[in-house]
Amino acid sequence: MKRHLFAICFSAVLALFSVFFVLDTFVISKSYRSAVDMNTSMFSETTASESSKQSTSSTKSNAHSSQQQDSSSERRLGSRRAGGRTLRRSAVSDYKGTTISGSSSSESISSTDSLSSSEGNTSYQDDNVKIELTTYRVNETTVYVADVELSSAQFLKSAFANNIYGRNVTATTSSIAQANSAILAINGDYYGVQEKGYVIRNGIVYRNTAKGSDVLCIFADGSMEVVSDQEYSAEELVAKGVWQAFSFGPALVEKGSVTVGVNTEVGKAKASNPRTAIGLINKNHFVFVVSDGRTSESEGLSIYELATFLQSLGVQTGYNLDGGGSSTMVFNGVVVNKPTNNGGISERRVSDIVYI
Amino acid sequence: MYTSEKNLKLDLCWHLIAAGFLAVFGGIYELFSHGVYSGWMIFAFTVPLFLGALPYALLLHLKRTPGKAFRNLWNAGIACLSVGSVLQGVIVIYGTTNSLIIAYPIAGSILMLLGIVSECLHLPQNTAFWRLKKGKD
Repeated sequence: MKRHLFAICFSAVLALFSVFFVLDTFVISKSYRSAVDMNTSMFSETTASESSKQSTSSTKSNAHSSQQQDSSSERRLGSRRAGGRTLRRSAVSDYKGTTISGSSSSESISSTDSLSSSEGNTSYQDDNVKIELTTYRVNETTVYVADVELSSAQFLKSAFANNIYGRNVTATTSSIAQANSAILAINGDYYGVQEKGYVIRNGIVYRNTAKGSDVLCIFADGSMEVVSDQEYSAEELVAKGVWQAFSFGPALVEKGSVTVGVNTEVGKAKASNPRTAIGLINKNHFVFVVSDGRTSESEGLSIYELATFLQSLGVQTGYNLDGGGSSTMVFNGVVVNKPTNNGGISERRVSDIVYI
Repeated sequence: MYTSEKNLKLDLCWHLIAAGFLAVFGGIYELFSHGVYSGWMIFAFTVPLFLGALPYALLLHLKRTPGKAFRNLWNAGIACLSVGSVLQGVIVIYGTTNSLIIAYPIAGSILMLLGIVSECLHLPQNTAFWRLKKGKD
């Protein structure tokens, strides 16, 4: 015993430190601050002028609101806070699939009407929000696309798990969506596992430490741009009108062109995997894209395949968010894709979501 | 207290076993990592192989027996670096970061350096010991 005293003591210290390291990395939650109110002041200039131009038509059946319809999104924002929103749920039967052509992939991309939420809804519409869900089959993979048209970017929000900004503070996408009464939600950039990277949510800076990567900026005017965090500070971005900023990447499409190569890696991953991406077609017209993967039904997409698919949708700016087991899309309270986790179909707990 | 040739061979074997274990572990871990790879995980086996087994093999070949302090400190340093390499691979594959990882290479390097220093301090005595041993043989 005495002969090996040093070895035993050192081994014990090394083991204890390693256990602490693993717990600190993956388990121990650190709550840095609660999510504060949204910084909607950046919308004051754009709201009144934009809302009347971009009000969507209300042609779907089954309107069940007794509130007066108001074309001003600012007043609608106030009424949403005070007494909920006006909903019009569309009927299921008028869903249409479309065939997308012009893909650089040798396989054609086709859509199927295979979505099956519990109520069978594949679209949503009110005076400020229009959402259309479509399912595609791309490279042996099921891809879910939510086409989102908004009257104002203020309806594109983000939320933290348990409404707390911190490390290892997680919850499933569906539970975060439910807590925030989201119509549509996808997982975000899982900021909680990173120690660096800008975190700007709902106009508030939560982390201003750059990590030398592309940052997706969604502006209050409904535009989207990918910038380098070496170029602007987080505070400067908010001053420029950035409403949401995500740090995962890489940028997939910029100015309508694919910006990733065939061998582009995300965290050393070249393989096909479930993916989550967000794209901009034009101002206040977004697409949320989630693909399945790691199953017998869906292989998954590589980064390049995801980028070319976004391009085929007409996306001008596209950005990759956290994929793998995190990839989840929730619509009207129902998880519409098949998130894989620990070898089965189940949601992974994530740090944040992007939602409408 | 000096190390016998038998202990050196024992250390050499343990380092080879550790290298083999880390090679297998890294391979299996990468197999289940959904195509995400990390050099830290794949090449973790090189630490006990090139920093452990190789120096000990060299010492055996040169018929030099280092002090016990050197053995303890050097082996501890290799353990630190090996564990650090594996954990770095784990967090890279997971896609996260932790600044505490820096403790492993720092501690490992310091321990190995202390081992070398302790051996240098004992060098004249070590040489004399070997001459004495040769004389007895």
